[in-house]
Amino acid sequence: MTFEGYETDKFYDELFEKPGLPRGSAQLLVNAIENLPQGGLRTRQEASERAMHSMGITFNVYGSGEGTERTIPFDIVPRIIEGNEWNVVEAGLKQRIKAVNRFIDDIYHDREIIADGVVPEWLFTSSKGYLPQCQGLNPPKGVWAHVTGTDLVRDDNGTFFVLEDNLRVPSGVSYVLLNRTLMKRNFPEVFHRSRVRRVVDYPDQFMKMLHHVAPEGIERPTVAVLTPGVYNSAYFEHAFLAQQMGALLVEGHDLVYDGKYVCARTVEGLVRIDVIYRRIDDEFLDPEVFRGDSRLGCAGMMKAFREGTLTIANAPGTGVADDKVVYAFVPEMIKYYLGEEALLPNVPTHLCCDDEALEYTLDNLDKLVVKPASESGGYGMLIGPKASPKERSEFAKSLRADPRNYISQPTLSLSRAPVLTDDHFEGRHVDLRPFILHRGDDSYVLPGGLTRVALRKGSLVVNSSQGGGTKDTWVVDEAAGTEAV
Amino acid sequence: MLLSRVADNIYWMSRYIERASNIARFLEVSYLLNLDQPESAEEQWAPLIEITGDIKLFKARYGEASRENVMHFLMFNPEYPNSIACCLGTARNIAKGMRETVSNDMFREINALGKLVPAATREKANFHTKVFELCREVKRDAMLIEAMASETIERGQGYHFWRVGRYLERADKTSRLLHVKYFHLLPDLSEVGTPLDDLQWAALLESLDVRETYTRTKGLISPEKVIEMIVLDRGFPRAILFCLEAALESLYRITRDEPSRPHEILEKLCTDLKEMTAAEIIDNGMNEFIDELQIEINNVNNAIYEQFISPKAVTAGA
Repeated sequence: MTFEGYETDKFYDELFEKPGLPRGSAQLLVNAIENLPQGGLRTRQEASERAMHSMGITFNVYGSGEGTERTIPFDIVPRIIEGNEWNVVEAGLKQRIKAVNRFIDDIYHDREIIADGVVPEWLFTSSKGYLPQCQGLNPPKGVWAHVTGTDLVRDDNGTFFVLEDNLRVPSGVSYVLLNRTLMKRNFPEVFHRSRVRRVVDYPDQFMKMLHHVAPEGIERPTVAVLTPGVYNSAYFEHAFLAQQMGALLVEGHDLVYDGKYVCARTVEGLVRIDVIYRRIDDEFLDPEVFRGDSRLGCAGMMKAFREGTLTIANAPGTGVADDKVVYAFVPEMIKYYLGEEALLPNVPTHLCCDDEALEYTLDNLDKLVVKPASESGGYGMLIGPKASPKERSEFAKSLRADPRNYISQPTLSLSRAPVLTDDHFEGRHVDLRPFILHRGDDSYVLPGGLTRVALRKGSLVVNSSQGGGTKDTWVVDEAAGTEAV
Repeated sequence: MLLSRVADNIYWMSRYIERASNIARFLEVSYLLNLDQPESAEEQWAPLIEITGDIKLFKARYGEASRENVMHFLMFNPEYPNSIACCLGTARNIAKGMRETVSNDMFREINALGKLVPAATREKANFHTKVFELCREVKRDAMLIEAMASETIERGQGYHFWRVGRYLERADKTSRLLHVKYFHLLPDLSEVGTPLDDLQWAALLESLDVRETYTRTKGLISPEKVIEMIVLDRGFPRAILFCLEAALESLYRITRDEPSRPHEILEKLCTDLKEMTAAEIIDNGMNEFIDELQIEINNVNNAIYEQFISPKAVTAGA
């Protein structure tokens, strides 16, 4: 299997500086792949996919009925990031999460950032994620966004940009850990010699963080992962995390509020829960406070949260900062709260609530990417250059009807990485979702994160709900040697 | 700490796997037995449906209890909840819903086993061979899963719910097997003690994997000795008393030796059985004995639900 004839075209390629010339950090891997016997890589790819099926790592696509079990496609060629470059990204992510947490806390308290005129007031009053019920609350250690999955992309020059901050219930980390397990089996030799930074301790780091933010005075907190249940598309991840962390996996009907604590129904009666890592949205948490028809949460949970007998991660109300309009102001937040310049740039963003920006967006729909402010998963967005004139004119209508709800950005020519197609390699666009665990005084950043790849030729949409796949992501220390393995 | 929902899931997952492997045993033995029938005799397939207690359902769907119909009903029927395919499918779905509790190796097996029967080809030409093969696979895989449970799960409450489920299900199925042999295969009392009768007792022992043990320890076939072995034996792992004592032991482990309602019912049942002899069971009426036994096993099942699972009971007990 060779990379002969592999084209990087005009894009930044994650593994090759130019055709035929692997980046230093990728040299060992490229040699190993080229030295495999004919069909060897394909065999490994298929074995990995079978392993995923047998482990039950399946994914349900929304809207399709039961019985549609499929795995997220996994590409066997890893994406490699050089260690020094990663260090900058890591520092940038820590900085960003720290500032965002300060912002959320400020919004639910004195709103100094607004008083000082740095961000406009409508920013939070119009945000769907703002919860008046959280005004004045003090979650332990001042942490609101405990777990974040920030999406990064590279442009033509290889510069990393922040595409969006997923602060509510970001998913995908289980794939990072599983992809790594599969890759260790497939390329043990390269792995060993490439000095890949480890990801295996993520569940421990996660559990330590959750213990750290437990309610005051609890020495050995009982931690639960709250899942909507087995029919949720990310159920496998919820179960996987609970299993790896040693937490209880609970569903709404397992919980009951006893007047003071949120408890789980166990075979020995009610047992108090101290920390809940929830994988359901705010509006489903507590039917007494939010949606009355929710069966996914537990009546009384918000009382326990307000009274401090229960920590909820991420905290209710965190969504106020998970909004693509708020996103545009993060560099200002970093300056305001930390007195620093942002280490990771934003993608230049036009806020459509601004008349001028709206006109600009409407005039340039064929060049821009337009996104709804508070959706995730790639739903409801328009990729101008790929859309038909009809789609664009229909989108323009929704845009005019509710400009606050939209932002636009230039269409970046995302970086690419080689994927295995039938019998050769082709470049496909990728993004990167690192995971950050924030505990107040410090953060842990999972080295690398989830590389999502748009498997359709030329496509820019990497979301797993829309046909994207994943790759293992190696953060490699030291330029690896060039000798063959 | 074991969630009530998870305890319930473990219990039923275990029961469904045990149920499937018992039905596989019944199918396999009936088939072998029918092969040995004298040519003049009719093949007997209806009793197999009787074991499951769902004869009405079967008649409504299939009518005649022919070999193929019975095989299809018990092995493949996707709508009959006690078919092997459904039992294993249910167990698989339960396992998927508690991925965090089931060890990885066990999950892989249960996942694969749940897909085995629906994925099997069903060409007419090889139908019997295929059913036969599936029976063996189901039996073997169920034992494999059992071994994995025993080797990979710590002896906590979850493990003991698994064990209670398995042994209650097994006790129930062994009693049904006996019931059928006793009342359906030989309706004509004059045939008792004939070679055909012996053949059937032997088949019953065979389906419980205990025929050779029986011959070695008890000698020639006699109904009394067979009942001794499969009802009252405390050392044979498919005997009713063995199963009930094992379930009781696990119930005590679950509550850390505290007795409660399900313990009481089960304890009484064990004590009664220990005081009985096979001759008494036969004299007092096999039918009554088995009916009562099944009612009591069902009472234990309900008491377990009330004690550990029912949201009302669990919440009030706090």
